[in-house]
Amino acid sequence: MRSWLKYVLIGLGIRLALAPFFMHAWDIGTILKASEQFLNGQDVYGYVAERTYMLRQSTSLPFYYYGFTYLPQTLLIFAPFYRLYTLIFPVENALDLQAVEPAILYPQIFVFLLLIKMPIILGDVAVIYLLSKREPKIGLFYALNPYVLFITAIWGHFDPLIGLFLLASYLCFNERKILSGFLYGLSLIKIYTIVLFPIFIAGSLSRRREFAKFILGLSIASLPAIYYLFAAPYSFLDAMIFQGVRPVSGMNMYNLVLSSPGIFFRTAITRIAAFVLVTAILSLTYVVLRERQPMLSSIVMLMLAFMIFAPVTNEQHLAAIMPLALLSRRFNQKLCLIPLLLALAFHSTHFYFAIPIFWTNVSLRNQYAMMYGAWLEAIGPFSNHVRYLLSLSFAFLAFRNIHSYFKPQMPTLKPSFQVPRPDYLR
Amino acid sequence: MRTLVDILFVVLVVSLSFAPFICLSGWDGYAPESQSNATYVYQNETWYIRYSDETIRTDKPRIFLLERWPVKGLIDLVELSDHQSFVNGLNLYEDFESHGGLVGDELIVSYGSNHGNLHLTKSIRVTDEGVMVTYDSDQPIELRLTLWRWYFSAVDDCDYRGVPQPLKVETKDTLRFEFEDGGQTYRGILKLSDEPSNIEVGRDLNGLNKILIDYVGSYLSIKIALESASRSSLKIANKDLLYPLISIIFGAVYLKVGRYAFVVKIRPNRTGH
Repeated sequence: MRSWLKYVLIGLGIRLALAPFFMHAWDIGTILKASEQFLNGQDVYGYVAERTYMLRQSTSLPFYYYGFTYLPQTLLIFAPFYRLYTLIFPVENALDLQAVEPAILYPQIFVFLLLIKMPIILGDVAVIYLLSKREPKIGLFYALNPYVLFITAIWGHFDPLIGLFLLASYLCFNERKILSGFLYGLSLIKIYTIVLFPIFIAGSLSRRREFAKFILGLSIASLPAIYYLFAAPYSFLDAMIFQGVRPVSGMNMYNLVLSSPGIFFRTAITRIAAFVLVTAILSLTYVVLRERQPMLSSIVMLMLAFMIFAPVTNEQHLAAIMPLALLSRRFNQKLCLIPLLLALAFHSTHFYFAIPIFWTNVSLRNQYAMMYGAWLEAIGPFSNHVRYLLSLSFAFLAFRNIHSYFKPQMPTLKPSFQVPRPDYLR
Repeated sequence: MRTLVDILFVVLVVSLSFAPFICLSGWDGYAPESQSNATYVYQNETWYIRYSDETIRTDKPRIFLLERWPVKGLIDLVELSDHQSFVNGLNLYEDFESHGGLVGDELIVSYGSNHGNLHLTKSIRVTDEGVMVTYDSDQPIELRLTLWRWYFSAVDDCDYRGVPQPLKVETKDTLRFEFEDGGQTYRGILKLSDEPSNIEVGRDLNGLNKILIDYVGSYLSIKIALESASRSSLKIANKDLLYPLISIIFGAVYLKVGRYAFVVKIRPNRTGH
């Protein structure tokens, strides 16, 4: 059997085996709710705006409702699979995954999770194929990587799908500009890949025709967003603004605000973080363009810079970089250990982990809750500090990794022992 | 090699690590992801007040003293629990729908009764003199308030040892209490806008843990203030110091590593990419 096929089957098998039994209840619940509303012809963004309004009315604090705030292309990817679920279970298919006590039906939940995660799993399969065709070991690394498996098959986040779109866009950038632009447009379903826009544009600018083709592809992929911009401008823009002003949180150097979690305080730190992010991204973009860094390196560097400086950086975001970064020989693969550790240590309560299993077996659920509670109690008042320590580890390692792209990566030897610089470093 | 960019990055990280020491004075709030209830917090240089949270839902305020740098810490002063407060015999937590919100510099909680058309508001405000909690109703009510602390060492200058229950206190509009924390004795004062009809002290096996106030009328305000504290011990510096400590250690290690030019491994080039 060909090695790429073997790796694809291994990767697919593991993901299919895990997918039905685990989930990040809030985020999967968001996709479920949005798909349901979309298929019923409701305004997905209007619902989020309404919940935000109600929340602000009831608390008099400037909170946002954490609902569906991605570009509508996401719905075109997931809604068909939700529709398939409702076709398999035309009655008794209502699931409420975001309630304090989730409403779960068996065996519907297993089928639902398998189907709703299918686009992400298929995306992973495509990534394994593309990587294996270029370097089999990297393909196998991706297929078996515990971090990727956790994000894709256990939590069910769609950041790896963004990774696929970026990888594919990069691979066809030189030969098929329309497709590349289209794929880049799809990667914008989570708006953070916007930081790569100047890199793609700079790469297309050499010939006007190529530039036009890239923009055409990007525009085609953006049609659903353009539609919403006219159909429901206020609620759609509200949702997009939310992504820009979300209070600081997650796996970054700002997460020490968790020690004083008030919204006004976090908003103040968010403003500083936003300024830092914009400055860092603009400076790095300028440097990589000035130094004519290879496109692959530039993309990886900018995405890493986003992860270091963005006000909100969650564990799953690195999964959007992984497929491309693995093609880059300078990428520090150990980086993915830190978000995995953070996810396991702090975000694997039963609600974010294995509800489908725990809801069938109460004693198992209690045992897990007890075990997890004992862990949190063990680190007790220092849990925020441990989180901060891990986040800083990531920030410094990633920053060092960006640095490495600018340096000749050979040991410092006496001139007489120095070897000529290899081609791939030029 | 160490570069200016490295140094700037380390300076940024270290600077941000001091953020928890910024004292934003006033009300703030946060909510869990499910966003069903908000928790309100107030802090200034003296006071820290928390109202509601995910576990207790809309309840209390819990009032703390806030000691600042270099010995920042929270000292539990007193809490007003809705669970143990009653209006016309109805429990304020169980029998009323409540809804809180910030209006100016006040947290105002409105209560609507499921039994009749009684409306009550509780407001919490911090003044230069102390924390002011006000109960205001649209009609005369029989109000029973319970103020908790684990534990008071004395109420109205008496520790009530050997005194049989109920522990009655002479009714008056000013009540003093004492408690100990970290080897220090604190003296607090409760100043009521009107004389209540009854004051009692409650205790459990370990000591005095509540003050019960009965009042008939439509308006009652309670000012909670600290009279004095005999400070005799030095506490260990607050754990927030760990953030700058972690960032400085990381920054130093990072710059040191840069200085000796650690080599980043590059995987062999097996493909054309």
